[in-house]
Amino acid sequence: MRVRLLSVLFLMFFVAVGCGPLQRNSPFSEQTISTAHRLNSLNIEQLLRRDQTPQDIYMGLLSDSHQNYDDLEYAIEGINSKTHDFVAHLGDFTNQGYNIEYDLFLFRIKNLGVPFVTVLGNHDTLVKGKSLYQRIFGNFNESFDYRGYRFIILNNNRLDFYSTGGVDWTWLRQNVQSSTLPIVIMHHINPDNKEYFADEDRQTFWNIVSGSRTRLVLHGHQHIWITDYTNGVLRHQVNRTEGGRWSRVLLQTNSISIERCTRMACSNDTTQAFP
Amino acid sequence: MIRRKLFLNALFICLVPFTARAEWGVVLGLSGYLGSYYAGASFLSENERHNVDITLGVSPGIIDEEVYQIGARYVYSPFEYQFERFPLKTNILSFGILVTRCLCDDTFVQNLSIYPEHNYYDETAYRFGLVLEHNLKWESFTFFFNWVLLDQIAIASYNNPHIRQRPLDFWSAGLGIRFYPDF
Repeated sequence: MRVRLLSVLFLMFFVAVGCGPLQRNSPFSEQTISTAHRLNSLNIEQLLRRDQTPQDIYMGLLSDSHQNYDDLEYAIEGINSKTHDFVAHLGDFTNQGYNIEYDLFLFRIKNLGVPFVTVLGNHDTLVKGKSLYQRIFGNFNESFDYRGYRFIILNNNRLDFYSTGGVDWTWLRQNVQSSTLPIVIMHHINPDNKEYFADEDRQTFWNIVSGSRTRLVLHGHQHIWITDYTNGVLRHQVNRTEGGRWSRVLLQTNSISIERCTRMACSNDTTQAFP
Repeated sequence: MIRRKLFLNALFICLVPFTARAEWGVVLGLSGYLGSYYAGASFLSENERHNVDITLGVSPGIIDEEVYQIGARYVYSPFEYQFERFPLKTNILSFGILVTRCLCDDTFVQNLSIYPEHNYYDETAYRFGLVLEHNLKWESFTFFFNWVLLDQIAIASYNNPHIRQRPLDFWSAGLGIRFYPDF
């Protein structure tokens, strides 16, 4: 009798809770539980509906959260404790591009109190990651003008798009050259990466960026904070989220300030003034 | 080295049914990380405690094409109960493991040659899982529900106590039927 009762209980349990997770058909498929669709585009539209008069812009920056979901939550708590216009995740929010990792990331990033955009990381491209990214976040390359700055999201995962031509330098050149505003470029791989880029790719990138209106290049990939001036352009690499780390950028008409943050505590990194 | 180990493990799982006088049958199922739909061969040991399914699964695409995968699942059922009034048997809780491999192109295994090092990334085409199963046997048919936890997510949940609070985010439920014509 007891076994029968237990059996019925187990059966009911499996049926009752099985309906939702049945959607988890395969780690290799495009199926997600989240129904999010073209989030980058929607969030950019949300930003563009705001007053576009040039004024101070506060950006929160996350990168390389991979499977550090708790640390991502801590970083999000830190970001939410301060004022931001929007947040950019600079890629590698998954380890292996599986649909379940996209879901686990989305369940957390939606807790941000401000709009966010994501950059495609090399890890996010794997298996069906490219299709998942296109469906959930939108175009691999994107640009928008906001409050006196042009923001460019560049897919520079050259090796992962090797078969389809690598990085779309033509698109980047057009978007950089057509801007009358100062430019912030966001991508995932560090542009001096010798494993990822051939000499001519590195040269092409700096040919486009140097001497243009580009004021700041933001990226992740190497998991540590680095700020320097490369070919006359301020470059900031964001630390991975482990430990709740993130970066905060203040864009003003005549200057850029960068802070390094761990959870809710931030400290100054660099301030660069422009004539 | 890793591939060799995987091959030996897979070979062992495949040979288990032939080491005993096993019943041979078919399995049809949904989800459980083996594909939206899957079908394959199923083997049941003589004492009905060991079961191995070899499957081919498919999951429809949304933007991209559908994805196919092969899988092998071993389930051990130590707690069988025979109903008194009905010709039914049930296993309240069986448990086992599965291995699955994606038959798709955009994996590290397929594209390793374009990366700078052979082991630049993990071999994402392969995944392993832990299986919990509840089944009900009626003559030649076995109806089953199962829950599967991927190895990679098991590691993530170990490292992230917060995500353990929402297990339905990452467990996959599946259901299916096995049929052994000679049983």
